[in-house]
Amino acid sequence: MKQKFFIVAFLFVAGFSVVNAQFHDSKMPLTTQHKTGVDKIFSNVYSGLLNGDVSRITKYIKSDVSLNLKSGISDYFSPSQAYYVLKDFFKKYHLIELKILTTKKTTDFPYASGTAKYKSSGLSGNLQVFYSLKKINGGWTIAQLTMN
Amino acid sequence: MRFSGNQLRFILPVFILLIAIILLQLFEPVLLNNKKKNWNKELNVKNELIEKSVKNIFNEKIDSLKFILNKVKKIIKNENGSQEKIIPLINQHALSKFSVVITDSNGEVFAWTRNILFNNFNPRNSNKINNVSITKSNLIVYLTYNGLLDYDSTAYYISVSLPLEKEYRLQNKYFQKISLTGLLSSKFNTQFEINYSGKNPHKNDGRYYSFFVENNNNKIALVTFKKPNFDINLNNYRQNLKNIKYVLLITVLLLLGVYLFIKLKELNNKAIKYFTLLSYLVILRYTVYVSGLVSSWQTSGISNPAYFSSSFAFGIVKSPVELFVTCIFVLVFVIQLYTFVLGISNKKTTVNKSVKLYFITTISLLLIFFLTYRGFAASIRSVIFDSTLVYFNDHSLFPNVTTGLMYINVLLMGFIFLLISFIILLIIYVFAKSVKNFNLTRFLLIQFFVFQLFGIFFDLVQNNPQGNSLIRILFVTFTFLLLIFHILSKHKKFIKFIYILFAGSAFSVILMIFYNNQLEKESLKIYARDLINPNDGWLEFLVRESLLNDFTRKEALEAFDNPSTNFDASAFKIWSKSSLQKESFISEIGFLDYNKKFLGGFGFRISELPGPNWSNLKNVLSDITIFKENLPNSGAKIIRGIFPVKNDYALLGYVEASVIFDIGNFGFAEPPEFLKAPPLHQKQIVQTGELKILEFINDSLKNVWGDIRISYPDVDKIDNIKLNKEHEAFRIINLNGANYKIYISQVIRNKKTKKIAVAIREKDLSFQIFNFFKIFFFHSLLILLIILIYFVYILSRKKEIKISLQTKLLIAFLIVSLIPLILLALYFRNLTEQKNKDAVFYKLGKRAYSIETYTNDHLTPEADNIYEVFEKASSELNINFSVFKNKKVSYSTESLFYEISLIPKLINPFAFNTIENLGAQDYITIDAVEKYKYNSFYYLANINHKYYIIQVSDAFNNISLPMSGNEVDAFLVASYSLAVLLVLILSSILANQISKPIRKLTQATVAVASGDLDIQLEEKAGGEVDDLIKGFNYMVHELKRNQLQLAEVEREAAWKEMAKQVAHEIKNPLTPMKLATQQLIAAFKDNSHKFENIFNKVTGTIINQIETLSKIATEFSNFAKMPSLKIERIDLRKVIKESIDLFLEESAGISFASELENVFIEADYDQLKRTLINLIRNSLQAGATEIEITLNSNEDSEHFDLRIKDNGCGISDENLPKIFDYNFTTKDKGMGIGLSLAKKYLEFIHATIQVEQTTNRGTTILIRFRKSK
Repeated sequence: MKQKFFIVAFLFVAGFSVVNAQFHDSKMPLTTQHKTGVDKIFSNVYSGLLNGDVSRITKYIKSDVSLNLKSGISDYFSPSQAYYVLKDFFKKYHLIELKILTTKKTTDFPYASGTAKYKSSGLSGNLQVFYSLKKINGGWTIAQLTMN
Repeated sequence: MRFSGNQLRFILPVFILLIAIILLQLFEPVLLNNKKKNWNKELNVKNELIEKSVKNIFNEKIDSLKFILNKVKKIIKNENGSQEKIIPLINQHALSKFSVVITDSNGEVFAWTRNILFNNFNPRNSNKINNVSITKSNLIVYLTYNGLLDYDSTAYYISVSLPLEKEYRLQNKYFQKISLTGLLSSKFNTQFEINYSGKNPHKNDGRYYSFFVENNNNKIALVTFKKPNFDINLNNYRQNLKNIKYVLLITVLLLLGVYLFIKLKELNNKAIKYFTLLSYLVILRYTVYVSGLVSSWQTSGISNPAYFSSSFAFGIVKSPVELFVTCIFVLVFVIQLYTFVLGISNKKTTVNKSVKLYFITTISLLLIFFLTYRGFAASIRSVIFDSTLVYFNDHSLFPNVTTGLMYINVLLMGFIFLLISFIILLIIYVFAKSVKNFNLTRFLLIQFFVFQLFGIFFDLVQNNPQGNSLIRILFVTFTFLLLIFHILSKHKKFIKFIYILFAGSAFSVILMIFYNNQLEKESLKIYARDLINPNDGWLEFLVRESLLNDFTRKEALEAFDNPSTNFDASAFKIWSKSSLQKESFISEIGFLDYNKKFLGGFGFRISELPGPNWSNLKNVLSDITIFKENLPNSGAKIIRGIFPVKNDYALLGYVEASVIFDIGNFGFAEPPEFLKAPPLHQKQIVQTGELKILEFINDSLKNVWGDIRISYPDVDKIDNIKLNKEHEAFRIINLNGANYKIYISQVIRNKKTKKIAVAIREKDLSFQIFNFFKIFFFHSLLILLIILIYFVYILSRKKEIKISLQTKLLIAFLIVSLIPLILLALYFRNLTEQKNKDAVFYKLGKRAYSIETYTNDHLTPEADNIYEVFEKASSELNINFSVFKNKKVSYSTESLFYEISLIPKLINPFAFNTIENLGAQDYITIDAVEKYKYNSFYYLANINHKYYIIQVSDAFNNISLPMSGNEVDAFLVASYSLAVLLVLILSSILANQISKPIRKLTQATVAVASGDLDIQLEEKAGGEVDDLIKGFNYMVHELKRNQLQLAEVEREAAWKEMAKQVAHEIKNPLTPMKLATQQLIAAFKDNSHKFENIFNKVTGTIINQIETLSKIATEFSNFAKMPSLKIERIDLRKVIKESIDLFLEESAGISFASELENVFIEADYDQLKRTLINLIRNSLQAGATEIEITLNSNEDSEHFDLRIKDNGCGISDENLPKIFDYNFTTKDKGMGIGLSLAKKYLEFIHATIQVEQTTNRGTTILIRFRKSK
């Protein structure tokens, strides 16, 4: 009897965890997004890129995002994929300098572009950086991020 | 604390490994310090080693060039200078890496190889003879060795080259990468730069190391590399030490795991056992994850999150290989859980559990079941949506490593989730059995309907249900079928697992196809959104990026520095290395001199673009300038960038980049295949060429792109589709007789309503079936491999595998059916391929004839307008072609590719040889650009009495076929897979039908040999098998009759013998008794004085003889009681199992459950087996469909209780007291001695038998055995 109870309890807990993980995506804090302006998003993305702080960037990725990276990555990624792809990227490439030369905030696709210097395995180089936002469900999400 | 020998086997290595980890940790600073001290020395050695290795690489290349040159010389001599023979010989496969050109003393090309991309060799430059040098074509840098052969008074100048660097890059699968710099950089793990011009000085910076590569005192190249960096090296060393520690730690955990596994087997408390196992697996998995060892595997991208990653469970599924490892861990646990639950289900269940508890448990488990199903579907959704792998667009049957690993993951997930669902159902069944009045059929029917209804409700309450109704219904149905199969069949666990594997595979693939269709919708959405709202900022960035990247600057400076620069080629190089190529926009790169005059350029899908409008720009630009313009006569937008190129002294000129944005961007002016980048992004599973786009302005259809005819009613259909609040909609609608998936997006701007509808045609059924079988086929191969491994394992343990008749029949049917099927499929495939090839060449040939005819018809008598006529022919006939005169291209509609040397200007040497030397009229061959192969038709045309060779190919002409190679493959795989499946199912059924009567006969024979003579088989099979069964039944009947008769005769003979013996024995004491009595009578009559003596003597004699008689009677009685039995210590479980095995072919389910391990009693083995067989047969004859046999230890622990419980018709109250009576029977053909003998025998071995319980729903017989001491 105890054994049966244990199995049922275990299955329930496992099932709950599975459901929780699945529903995780649907519990997005959109209210925060509505209040966040483009400025704040750009500022956070800038810091995230410079410090390799992926969470700071990916909290603004709410749908498929186009990533074009120096490491050869060039595709659309889901939000959860984007996190690990960027994490992998920043493990190899560290930005030592980031200059945003152009920003346009008043269009349907606000964007910022500039240049960056990086170091990777003792080698250094330059990157062209671009990121743009789009509106989904009334909130901003990063549509594109290029570091190439 | 002492350890046993077995324990020591594990503890000792664990201890050693732990010590190693501690020592490594302690000595790590010492090791690192040591490395620091020796770094400089190590660095010098490294640098020298790298220099030596690089020089060796160059020397090897030079040696190979010399070798080839000598080979070519030999060929010329051997073939006596015959061009006809030399050309094929220098084009043989062994020389395919090299470019060989043989010229005569006038510089006229004599023989050449197919891959020639260099034709500027001036043989009169004698400095280059027998010397190695660097030569450059427009796009490639070569290492060249030139030689001269004087043979037969002819001078042959031979130039052999090996490509070192391609200065361009095609971003598709056709690109053949050649980069010595790249090779050296990855080989030595540092940045390399090779300067072939020899002009640039050494880098004096201490971070770099430079040296010249020379040959015969000739400087060939200046090689510079960045010295290995100390910090990077130290980090790598530190990382290696960390990896070693983790490997040791994981080894410790694995050893502990093995030890734990052995110990757990001895545990009786199953709950603790499985909790411990779960904890161990979690700890091990966590350690493996944290160590990062799995993720550091770089093989073929299996650890790359770009291919698949999910944030589920804190990242333990963040790459394909991490997902695989997690699945393995979960699999191990779920299989153990299944074994656990199976054990519980086989145990005897105490009836009379509360119905309330049963309902509560069922509802909870029902919920968990559907959560499991949801989890399964969500996992498969993640495989599709969180992955950039394109599972269904690639038509190859065998996947690459990463995709193959994901297929394995999908199979594992299918198996795990299906097994969990089955476990849940099994638990419900176990609970149900413990409730009073349990009926299996009723239980299954009610539960099935409850589950299906709950499933509908479950989907209704969710915002986003996973899968669809049909898949859910099938899933529930199949799980129930599994349960029925489990209850009714006696198959081993492994066989059940195989069925679950196949079913898991099928469900996984069905879900993958379902979600892939959803992904198509997402893909259309992205296209629609990009078209309705083009991102200008992105286009500007592309232009800026292509102008400001390092390569552009370097290439531009070099181009302006070199007076003989081919600016078209330079523009192509810049374009190829920029993002413009990746994004597939109509684009152009151009060079302008300092006077803004156009020098050359490369346009992608556009041949001529008007120059920039300088009136809006400053006269002299100091920096990059980006601006927008409109394309004349079109609604298209151009985004342009101009960048001034300067050296230290002056402005040299400008590089210009342009991107054109137009809806027609998307796949309509199709570029040649070898220039196409993969679809905008890999995940965009819809190819741009498949798209049909409709543009509505203010609800009126303005433009249509794509190969589609659309009627007015269809236009209205699309226009009237209702949009959601995001102004978007997705539908599947019928257009022009075919189903299309269509995504619509609308925007209102400047008071204009613009609507874009993006559509693709739905793939037909054969593609869907192909998609299914593509992955199912791969899974089936894996499952077959598992079966093979299992058989090898069994063989190694048992040294033999018994293959049943059914399996032999199945294998025979499969071999006979499948081999012809496969051969037919291959034949049909080859035939179609050949027919397609013939069709292609026929169509290309027709085009070539058309060009010849048109040209002849339109030429002026002087033929001075031939190139204009070619131009007109191309545009009017819509044919792309090239014309060769004197081996070289003289005209081409794709002249740019010849100009930049992407395609050689010299004609295919085989074509030339066949037509010119062998006199053929035409020649068909496969040409190649990079790795892209295409069909070419070469035709000797007579144009105005001059001969030209016209080449028409399918690289630049769209040749449509009734069925393309992919469509043929899809059709064949789909149809033949269905056929194979049908053959498998039919063969299984047939094999089972044919072998079933034989199996029953075999079982019956074994039963008869064990003493069961009551067995009779039914005649249902028909034919000779019926005769065999009839004969068997008759044989058994006769055996029984003879046995009874024999027993009777023997009994009679025995009785006679016994009677004779008894008579004889009795006579012995009777005689002295008679004599003594006679003596007494005589003494009495005589009044003898010795009467008293005689009386005492006679009575004494009589009493003695009576004693003798009594003894004889007792012996006789004992003998009559005792059968001759062999009493010995036997394993009761074994007897029970063997008895049950005799009834395998019966339709009733007979189960045996016992938790006891060692069950020994004192009994006669054969007699006990006969007794049990008799009891089981009685149950079957009472109509039982389920017989449960349980064996437990009695509470007094001195006895074993064996219960045989059936669900037959029971024993009436009237008959109950009589069933153990001799000669009592309720059967027509019974003798009524079975139970009586059974009881007698059991009592003899100190066991008891009783009817514990009987109702009209079944009977329970209890036999209590005394334990053997």
